[in-house]
Amino acid sequence: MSKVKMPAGAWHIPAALLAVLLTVTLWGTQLGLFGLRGLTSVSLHERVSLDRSAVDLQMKRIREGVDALGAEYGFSAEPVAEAVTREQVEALDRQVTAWWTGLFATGEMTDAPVFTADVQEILRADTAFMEGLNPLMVNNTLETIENRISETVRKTAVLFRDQLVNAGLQRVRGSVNLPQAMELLRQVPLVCGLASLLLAGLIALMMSRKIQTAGQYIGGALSGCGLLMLLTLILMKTMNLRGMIGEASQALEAQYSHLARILSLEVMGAAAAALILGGLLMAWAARTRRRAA
Amino acid sequence: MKRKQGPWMILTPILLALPMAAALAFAAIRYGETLQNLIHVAIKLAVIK
Repeated sequence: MSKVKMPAGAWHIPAALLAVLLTVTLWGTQLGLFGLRGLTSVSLHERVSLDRSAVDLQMKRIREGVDALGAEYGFSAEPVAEAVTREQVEALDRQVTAWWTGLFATGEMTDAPVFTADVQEILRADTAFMEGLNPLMVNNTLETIENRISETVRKTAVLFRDQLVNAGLQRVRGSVNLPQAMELLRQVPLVCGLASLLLAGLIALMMSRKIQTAGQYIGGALSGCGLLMLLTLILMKTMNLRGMIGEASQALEAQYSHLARILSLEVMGAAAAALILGGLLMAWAARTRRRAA
Repeated sequence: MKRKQGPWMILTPILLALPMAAALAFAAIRYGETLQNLIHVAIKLAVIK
């Protein structure tokens, strides 16, 4: 009994449809990986938080805050401002980075780190200021000033982004299961990656009589994924997030720009790699087909 | 007759990405402004807080 073979051309349509799906799953894998990196990468966020210009801006804002308190209470602001060192601010930045990346990595909702300024001794050494104080209210006043300086440092050092995250978490606590949501997010690149492998395998199987065509489809899907990544980047830029953030906080805009610059370069690199890899695969398929012809 | 592969090497990725690109463009046009406004409001609320 003779076997009835499907003509090779009949598989083109389902293979092309699978190739469209493959493009989407590859894009999903890339998005998931970059999304996770953006939320949970400690090294990336430390690099952004500890950027020299970002810390300079924080120190400037802290100095302005202490000067304002000095004008309000009558103490000499310079020695107090010098008590809040760059190293302390950078250490706080590291703690905050670890806090909010850990938040998304583990899903455990904890409050942002606090900062305690230790300036009472410096204030007591300011004799002109101490003489002007009500003797009964000395300890109370010193503690109030210390708390307000701590809060100033916390607000300027724990940058707006982190306050936004903290505020957002306060609102969703109880209505969103963050550990579960994060677990789902972590699965996205894995599921999309496995789906991509499955789809590529199916395409290869369907076009097994003309493996070069499978290469064309898979290579095309890879390059298509690169194009989609570039389109995603363009769409993100058109949202003008930087402008909106800049209206609210100059310091956060500086941090955001730095983060956006790093991630944009990485996305462009990944898109370029996908385009080149896809192109090479298609070129191989074309060459092999020419040889076979 | 040799079939020219060059144009297909450029067209194939574009055609494969087209459906998803169209979906993204539609979503951006339809929901982009709403999303932008939401983010804007969220940022302003956080400033007040």
